[in-house]
Amino acid sequence: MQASDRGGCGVKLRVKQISLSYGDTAIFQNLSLSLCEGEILGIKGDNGSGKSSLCLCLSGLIGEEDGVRLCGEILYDGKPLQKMSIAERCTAVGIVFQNPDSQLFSPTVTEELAFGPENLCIPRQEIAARIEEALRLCGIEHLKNAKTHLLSGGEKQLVAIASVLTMHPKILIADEITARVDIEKKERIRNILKSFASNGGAVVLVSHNSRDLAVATKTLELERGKDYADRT
Amino acid sequence: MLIELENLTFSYQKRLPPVLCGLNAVFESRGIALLTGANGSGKTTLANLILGILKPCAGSIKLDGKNAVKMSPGARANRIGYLFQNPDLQLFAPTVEEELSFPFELSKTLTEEKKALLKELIKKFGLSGMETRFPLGLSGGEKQRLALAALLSKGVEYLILDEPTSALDAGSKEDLIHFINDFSKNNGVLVMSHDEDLADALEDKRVLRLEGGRLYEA
Amino acid sequence: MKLDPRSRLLLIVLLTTLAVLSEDVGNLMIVAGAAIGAGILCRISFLDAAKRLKHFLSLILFIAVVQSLTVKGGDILVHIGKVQLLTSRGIGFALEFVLRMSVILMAGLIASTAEGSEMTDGLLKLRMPYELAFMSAIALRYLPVFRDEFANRIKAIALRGIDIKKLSLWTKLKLYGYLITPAILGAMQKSEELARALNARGFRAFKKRTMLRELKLSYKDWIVMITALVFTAVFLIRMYTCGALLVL
Repeated sequence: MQASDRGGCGVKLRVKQISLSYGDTAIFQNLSLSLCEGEILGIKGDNGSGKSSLCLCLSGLIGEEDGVRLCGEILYDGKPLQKMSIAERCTAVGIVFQNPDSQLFSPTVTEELAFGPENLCIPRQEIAARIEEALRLCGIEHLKNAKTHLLSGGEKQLVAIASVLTMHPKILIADEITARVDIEKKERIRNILKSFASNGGAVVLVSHNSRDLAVATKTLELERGKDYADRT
Repeated sequence: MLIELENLTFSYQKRLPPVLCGLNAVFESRGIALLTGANGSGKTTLANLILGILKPCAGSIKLDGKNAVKMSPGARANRIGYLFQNPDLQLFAPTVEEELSFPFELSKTLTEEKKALLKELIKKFGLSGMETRFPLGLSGGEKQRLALAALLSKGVEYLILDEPTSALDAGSKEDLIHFINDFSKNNGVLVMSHDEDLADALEDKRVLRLEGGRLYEA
Repeated sequence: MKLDPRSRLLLIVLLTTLAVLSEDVGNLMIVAGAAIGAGILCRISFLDAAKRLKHFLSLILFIAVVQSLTVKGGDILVHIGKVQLLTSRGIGFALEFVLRMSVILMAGLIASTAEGSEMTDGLLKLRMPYELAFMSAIALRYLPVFRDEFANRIKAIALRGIDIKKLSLWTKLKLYGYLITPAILGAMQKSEELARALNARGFRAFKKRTMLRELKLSYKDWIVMITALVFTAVFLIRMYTCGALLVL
């Protein structure tokens, strides 16, 4: 089922016929979609169908590496992703990955949450306010002074989400973020994503879990190498 | 393989509160036991105790009625197989074929009969045609199937699966569920998982919850 | 009042410099005394430190004993017939080694008093390029991750029914060969994931970055830093004029 293009709803993300290939292997072709405020796009598909690659494309993390070819346009609030600076990109879109160990760099939770805003030269007082807000949104106020390497897998994932929220992105991409997390925290993460969408953001959620995909307002199923040109 | 836990207690350090307190449980030689619990509740610790990687602070573990205290992890591994959450950690060899054969080559027990069994396992786990491929280059589902084949090549009677579906897509998950249901007809399986879809699909399972260092039956 | 990380960094650099450049037991005892003073200023609990480092301390003592028995020269203190067991030069060498290692250990303990990324922030305030300061911090952060992963692989080998201790040397080497490729691949994959995550969090978005932690040098920091610099300068000049400076 192809995600439809609804032009007049406060479109935050518009993807126009993007095609991605690694060498001679096409991952997806002529894929178009759009995402409005308040929407949660659920993406599913077999391993190798291009879900994570699509997430990397949408977050501007696919570079001009050897053999990688990306064509088409990705627009955030009408501005092309390729023309954005790093700072603009980070405030347009944030991404959380499956493995929290690969996205936590700091010794303590507070420092972790401060990392993104520090990079964006946000003033000190505002960083402190954003940290309090993100801790509250993720329900991890009690972990404020905790050491990151001592946290459980689920706690680490919540800290990873909070550390992206402190950058105030308008779109949040969640790439299989509940895969390594217990049931109680899965539910909390789903609520965080719903809350993010209902507060004016939009979410791209990749998951194999049917309960995760149930929070989506629309879904997209990917197939490896497929040409989506004939879909509307 | 009957696994009995009697008053099992474990703490990583004396000054820290115990991770497991006086656990009593029996894991039957047939059927599925599904173990749930929050991240950090001690599921992997329990598995490591059963496997002999960790030693209990108090209490005992019996395998088929015998106290397992003197059984080395290697000896237990011949009867209990453990599937890591990340199968990359248990794949070592340069090819799929060698992945299955290298433990037998190292112990000089690779007989013609064994070779035939390994060929059979490659076929059974849908790895035919991939014999010369690099194991770490396979997909998540293929790696997991290879890791399971490697465990079964030792003729294990009991399997412990640690979050087996975290990296699997829908198709591979279905294959795994089918395998677990099938294997558990004549052997025991302990599945440690948060996956609600997996929990719903497993047949005739006992559901246990690890919380606050104690085991509860749901 | 806790010392600013910049003061602690200066103490670390000066102590290790003096430890490396000093010769003879007398000078090293003075440096060791200064190191103890620095440790007290940084509120190090020597008893806790000794408990944590007991294996390391035993190793230092062992090496010292071996050196005292193998280095010959000066007055013969203990001998069996014509065989010299212990000489004054040997004892001196061993003492120098123990004192030098103690000072370096103390510098390490001062570094460990930092909370979180204090030392990284201190290096940044000292105008070290962010990428360099961050690299060392991230290496420390990920060492336990790689260590745990390697330990899990060794565990996985045991769980395949392979008893490493019972294998011949050649087979053991072959087995370790099986471990190295996956470990390197795992490290490369983690680095790639880490680079992506850093990119996603705006790393190097601008040439400078703000800091949540506010670092301010107090009067105590200035006193400590000036005293340490003056002490080091005077000590080095004195050692040079007396010919006790280790020329590299």
